[in-house]
Amino acid sequence: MNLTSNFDFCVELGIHSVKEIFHLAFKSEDRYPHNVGPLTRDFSGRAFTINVRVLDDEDKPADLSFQDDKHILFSFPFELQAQTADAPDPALSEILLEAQAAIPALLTAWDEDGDEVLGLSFFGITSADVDISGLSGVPSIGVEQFRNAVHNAYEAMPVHTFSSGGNTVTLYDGNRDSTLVPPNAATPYDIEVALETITAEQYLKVTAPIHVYLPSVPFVGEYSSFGRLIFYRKIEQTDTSVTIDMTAEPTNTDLATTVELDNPHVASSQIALSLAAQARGMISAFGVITEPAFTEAAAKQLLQDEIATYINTRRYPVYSPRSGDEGEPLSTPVGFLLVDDGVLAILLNRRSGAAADDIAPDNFLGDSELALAVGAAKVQEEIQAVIAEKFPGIGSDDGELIETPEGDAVLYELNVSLADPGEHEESEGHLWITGKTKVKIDCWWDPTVEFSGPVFMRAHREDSEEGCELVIDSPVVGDFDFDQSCCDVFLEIIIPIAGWIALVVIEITIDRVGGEVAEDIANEQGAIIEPIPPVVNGIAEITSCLIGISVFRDGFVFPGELSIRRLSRSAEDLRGMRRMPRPDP
Amino acid sequence: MTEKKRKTRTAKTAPQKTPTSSKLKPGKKAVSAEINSPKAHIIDIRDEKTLGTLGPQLNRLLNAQSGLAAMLFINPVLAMKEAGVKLSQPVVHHILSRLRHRPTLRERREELETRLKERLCEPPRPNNSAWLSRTLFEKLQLQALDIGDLTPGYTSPHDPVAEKRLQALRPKRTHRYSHLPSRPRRTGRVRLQELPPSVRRMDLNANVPELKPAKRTPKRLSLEDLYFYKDSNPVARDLLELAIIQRRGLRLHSRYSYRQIKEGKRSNVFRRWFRKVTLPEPEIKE
Repeated sequence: MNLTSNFDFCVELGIHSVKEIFHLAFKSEDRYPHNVGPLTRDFSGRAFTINVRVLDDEDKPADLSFQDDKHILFSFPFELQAQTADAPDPALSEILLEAQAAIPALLTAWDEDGDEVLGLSFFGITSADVDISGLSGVPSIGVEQFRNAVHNAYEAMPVHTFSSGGNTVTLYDGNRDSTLVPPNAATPYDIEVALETITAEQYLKVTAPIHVYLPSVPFVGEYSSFGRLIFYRKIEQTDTSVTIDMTAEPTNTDLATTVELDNPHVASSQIALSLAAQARGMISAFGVITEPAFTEAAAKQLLQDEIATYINTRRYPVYSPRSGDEGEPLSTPVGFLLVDDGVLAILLNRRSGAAADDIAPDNFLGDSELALAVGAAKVQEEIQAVIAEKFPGIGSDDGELIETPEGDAVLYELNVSLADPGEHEESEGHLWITGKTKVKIDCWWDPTVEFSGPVFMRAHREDSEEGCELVIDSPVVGDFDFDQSCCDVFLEIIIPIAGWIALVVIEITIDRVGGEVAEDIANEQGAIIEPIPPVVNGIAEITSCLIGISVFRDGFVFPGELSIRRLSRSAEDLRGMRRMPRPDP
Repeated sequence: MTEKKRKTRTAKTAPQKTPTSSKLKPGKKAVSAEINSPKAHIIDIRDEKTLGTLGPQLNRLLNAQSGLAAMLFINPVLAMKEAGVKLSQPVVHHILSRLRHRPTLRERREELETRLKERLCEPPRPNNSAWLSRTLFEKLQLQALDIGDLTPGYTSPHDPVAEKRLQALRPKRTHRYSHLPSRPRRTGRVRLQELPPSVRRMDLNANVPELKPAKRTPKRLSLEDLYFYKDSNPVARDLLELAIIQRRGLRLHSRYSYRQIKEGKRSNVFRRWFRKVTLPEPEIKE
């Protein structure tokens, strides 16, 4: 099993813990403002005010998943409100786009307040990196919106009565202008619109009620009649707007403006023709109607652009180790995501090679919330140190004399290696100890004994009012009665070595991985320690407890438990606690 | 530690070499050799002198049977017999008494056994809890004590000098993350569990507290309980010391136990751990 790759230490956290830290991080509104804006944007010449809201609540939770070994894919619910002051259709003055945005963050390390932190960075995210799904709120522009726009444009006209050469045409739209004389009695009563597709182009067909008055008509003198003005205007659509230029009559003669009059007259066709020419100018008074109308593609692009702008300066720490030894600074933590297993692995203290040689370790987290591992090379380093301190004579010609009331022996060799479960016919991982000693026997030649055997390392968690502690059980050599006199002496040589190895390796691991050793405890062997950094910069407090020890050929693993709580309170917290600031009485 | 003490014995400093059995003349009283028959006794040792002179040869014989190596530490007499060595009863007694304890402990054990036998008019059996109870409460008329949950004092199995060096391997304690606002200060510690107590490490020099009389006299008295009588009666102290010495001796297994261990039916640390035992062999002269 690859526990630490080319590094000395590795910490693994489950995706659940990473999510917990992320949610806490995301509640820090000073780091991650949930409301961005107002921002001013221009679409098709129309000024829009944009407000962006990012959500992470019960109804619309943010989430994350592991995308590849270096990227976490975040999923944020976004709301984008786009407002424009003068939309022809008032209903289109404000649109609210809602979507789920998936954004990849890079697992990387950086310096924060002088500390190396490992975290997730959105730096460099572009619109193209933002994936939008579940988009809603894109307004569909239909006949209703055009009708409203035309009504709105009618009301915006300064006059509704148009005179030319003595002829007067009054343009009605229901009773929107109640000052008109004569009052509207035309059919239709309101301006009607319809969408028609003609030769693959979309046109707005407008039927507007009118009254005409001609003071001098051959044969009859004056002539007046209610009637209808019928005209077509081409609809031009862009990604962000729909425009109808009322001033431009289609070139297609079939779509020419026509006037229909209710009162019959022998020259009514001539009258209508002459009025139609006059009506073109009148229609131009509607101006150019432009509706904010985002296509789905444009709405997505808008969201992508705004989200990229929002996110590409954000990053948040996940792991904030701090070296306790100025002489041995902590090397940059390197993270890997084990996608299939849902595990975040953080490697610390590169032992060999360069960054290009770094590879992901295996999943040793199992069912634990947290697990620390120390690599075999580092363990072996400490094993040699412990042996050298305990038996400094080993390796010399004289060996190490061990004197006991029961008898003496000279220890010449002692080697401790790590073994996987299954090795040496043992189902449990273990230390495999080999050695060579000469046993002193009274009145006989001293036999040389070569020995080897497994030592099983176990540990358990104990809790007190002061917190939790990891108690390294007395190492187990086998199924032996400990009080077997000479056996006892032999075990007393082997067992303390194994115990010290475990103690030193665990403490060094904890120290290097970034925990603290806070202070001495009087008259106790133990020290106050933090298995992993007890704080994620500015975000969360972490309480961790180690609960055991497992031995593998590739190193030691210490499984643990985690609890995570937020470092500060947000407005949401205060609201939940009914402690929101109140105005002065 | 003197230089003399550090020097380990070699074939040159061990008892004087003797010719190998194959070179012995047939019919010699103390030694006979029948090499060709594996079941027959190759070496017949009838007295201590022969044991000394044939030692190197005996070593070679034992070395040749690697399976027996660890069994020497289970019961050397049975291991030698299995290797084909015939031992007279005096030689067996000599080997067992020599191996069970080193000289200083052996002398102290004999001194205590003699004194206790005189005082109690019977051989002392301190590792027998029923015998201990009868001796203390009936023969010596001692008042039974209310020991409750008290445990004896034990001497440390660790060498304090080596302990000090090992302590230096632990990382220096540095105060990090001092700005934590509200979390309990102590969330984790690491501690090494003490080795299990062992009778052989009972501290005879430690003081025991004064205890109230027990309401009832126990039928059996363990060595852990005997510990609390050591300062109130010299016989009790001698019994405890003798028990400790007995526990410090090489445990010599019975024939049955020896067989069980050899066949792997009973666990034993020597059998499990000792892969090879090599005894010094005589030098072969060209």
